[in-house]
Amino acid sequence: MIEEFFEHPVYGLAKAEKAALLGSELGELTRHHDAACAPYHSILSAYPPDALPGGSVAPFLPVSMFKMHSLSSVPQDQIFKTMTSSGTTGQAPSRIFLDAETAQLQTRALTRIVTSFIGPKRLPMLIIDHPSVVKDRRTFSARGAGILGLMTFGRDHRFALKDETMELDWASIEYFVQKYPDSPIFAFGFTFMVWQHFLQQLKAAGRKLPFADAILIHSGGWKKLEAEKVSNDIFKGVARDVAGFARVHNFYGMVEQTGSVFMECEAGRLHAPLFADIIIRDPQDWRECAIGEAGVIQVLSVLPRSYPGHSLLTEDRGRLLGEDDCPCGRMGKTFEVLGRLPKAEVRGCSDTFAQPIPQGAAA
Amino acid sequence: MNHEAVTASPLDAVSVVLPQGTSLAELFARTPAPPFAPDALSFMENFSRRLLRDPAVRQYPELVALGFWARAASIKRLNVRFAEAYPEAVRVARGLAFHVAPSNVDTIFVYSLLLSLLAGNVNIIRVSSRGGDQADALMRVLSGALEEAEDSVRARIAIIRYAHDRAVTDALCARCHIRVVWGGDATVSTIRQSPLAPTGTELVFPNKYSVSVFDAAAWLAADEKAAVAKDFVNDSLWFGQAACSSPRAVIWRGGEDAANAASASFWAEVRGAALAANFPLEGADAVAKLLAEQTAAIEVGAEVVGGSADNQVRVIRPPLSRLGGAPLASAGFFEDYRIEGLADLLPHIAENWQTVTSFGITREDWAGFLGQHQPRGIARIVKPGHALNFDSLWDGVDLLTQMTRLIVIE
Repeated sequence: MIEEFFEHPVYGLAKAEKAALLGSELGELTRHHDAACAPYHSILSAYPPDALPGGSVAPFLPVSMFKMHSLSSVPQDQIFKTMTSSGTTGQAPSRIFLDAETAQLQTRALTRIVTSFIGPKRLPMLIIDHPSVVKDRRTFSARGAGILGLMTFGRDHRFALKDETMELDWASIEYFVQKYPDSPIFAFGFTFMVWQHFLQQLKAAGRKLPFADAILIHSGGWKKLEAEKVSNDIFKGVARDVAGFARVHNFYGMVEQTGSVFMECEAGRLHAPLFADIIIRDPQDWRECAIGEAGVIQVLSVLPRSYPGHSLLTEDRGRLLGEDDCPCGRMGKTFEVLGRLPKAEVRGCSDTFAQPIPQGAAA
Repeated sequence: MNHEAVTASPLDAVSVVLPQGTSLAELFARTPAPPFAPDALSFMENFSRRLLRDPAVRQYPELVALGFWARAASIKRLNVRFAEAYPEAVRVARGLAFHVAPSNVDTIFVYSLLLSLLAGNVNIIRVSSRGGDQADALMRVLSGALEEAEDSVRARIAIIRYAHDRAVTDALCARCHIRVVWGGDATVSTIRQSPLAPTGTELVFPNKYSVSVFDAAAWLAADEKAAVAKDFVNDSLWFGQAACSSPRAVIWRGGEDAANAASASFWAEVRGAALAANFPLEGADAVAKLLAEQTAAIEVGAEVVGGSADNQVRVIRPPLSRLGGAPLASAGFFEDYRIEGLADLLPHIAENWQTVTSFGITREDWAGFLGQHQPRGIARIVKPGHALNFDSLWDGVDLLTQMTRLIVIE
């Protein structure tokens, strides 16, 4: 029963107890989607029963399956919101169909996760983006959905950027500086936007913001920052020095599993909340990797009811750091993301003049 | 030659990789040589010797194969075939040949160049800027052979690089007498936007599709299963299954029981051979194959064959109607089919069918089928292990004949 997941602390269950709860819910979801989603049923029936990728409890689909097929487990008239990934250049975006129940579960789970980090009190919130990304509320881009999802945890919202030019909206920033000096604020934005269009512009303008104990949550992938040799430590240092963000939390998540995000704790590790799990897979045979071994990241979530996205193989590399043993005291598996899987070298009589398809940042 | 016009042209963007110091302006002014000219033959002999002697080359079977192909004895056979073909005609080179090489089958541009050099042509070869250890080894050997070659041979060759630039391609296409385009549909379409001179001609090598056809009973009875499986693995995995002639599908001829038994035994052997060959498997390839098998399950109801959790070799069994469809993945992704007889292939054979690796099916069976049904595709039928062997009869064309002209004297 999904309600049981809301009765426990979000990072409180030890391995055995979590495994039992998660296993039974995921198995239930596999049976539900098998019965309700014809394409999902076709996938499961294609494999010999003992050879389902990832095992029979929650076999995984590649996350890009949602770019190629419309996979829904509810009748059309129950879909009240369709989310799309921002879409890598040259690729179709993912399309995720949400019914009221799944959307609500996503919100409730996200609330449990985020408030366990920022506290139950709503703080003044600075959004490191521009207002037009959240304009159309019926078709959400991943970016818009992410921002709207996080906005419920703040009050007195201001957008830090003006528009598509990505210029700082000094009026918004001055408003915050005047109204909340030396007090905690909450900011959210996408990792690259925060770095490039917020922190770098503040730095260039020679401004330091006077907030105290401010919290920054960011997500969206490190690919662009890795290219600029910006590590998480450098990012955190600049965020603290320039904007007074004493607490900086990255999270790993994707539009295909909105809600059950993997937050970075004070010890710098990404944590699986009670609603989710992480398994690292060896690309040779999909066996489960041991702690410390790098492989392909599989994400599991008990939230997706209206689409078969409860077990997905990502295109990211990662490594488990531990389980129930993080210095921060939270239970559950901890891991780090090692970036996108490198594209295999194209060999063969391939196209010399075909344009390469650029890779996008991790969702 | 108007020197000023040349220096002001888009060809300034071209860098000549080999031989050093060559200018395109000089090359345009060269006259071609007769086919099988002695200077070309001695250059090829030296190139072959250098290649087979080079310690760095030994780890690259494709380069070794190229070295054997270019040996004097093998070129002599080409010469005999060439000389016997049109006794009533005098055969001359076309003139200037412009070759566009594929990005990553490193050896193709050398075959293209050497054949055209045998034909007597002056050659400009555009190679991709993407390198690699194998490409570097090949370039080093080629460079050494060119240094020792006679001036007259060096003067008929320019290996060039340039970034994708329509103006450069236009200029080269307008000047050449034959262009030779390797590299697939997109490359062929792009290069065809640049017009040839009205008298210019071309050879193009668009995307190809290749399969294996095995007789189920013959496989079950075969003693040499492990060796054939190894050959099949080399044919398919050597270029990550992306070579034109790498099999995408294995088609069993025979009854249902025999085909099922043969398929199960074959894929077990292939998995063993692939494991032993130790081809690297990229994570991205494993994920791409997962996506491909599940896409095929949704779209055509394909089954995933075999319970083995081995991502090096993934096999699906779609309905026969899917045979010949665009490949869903590479690097060890196969489709498994069954036919009663060769005639069942007919509805699926399209113009892009190139190589059939055949096992247990007689020459007479194939000749009968081809003669009776005249399929629109299939360029060659070879034994397992021979799919990647290059030949001057390629894609249904005698390359040497196409690279020369026939002058009839009545």
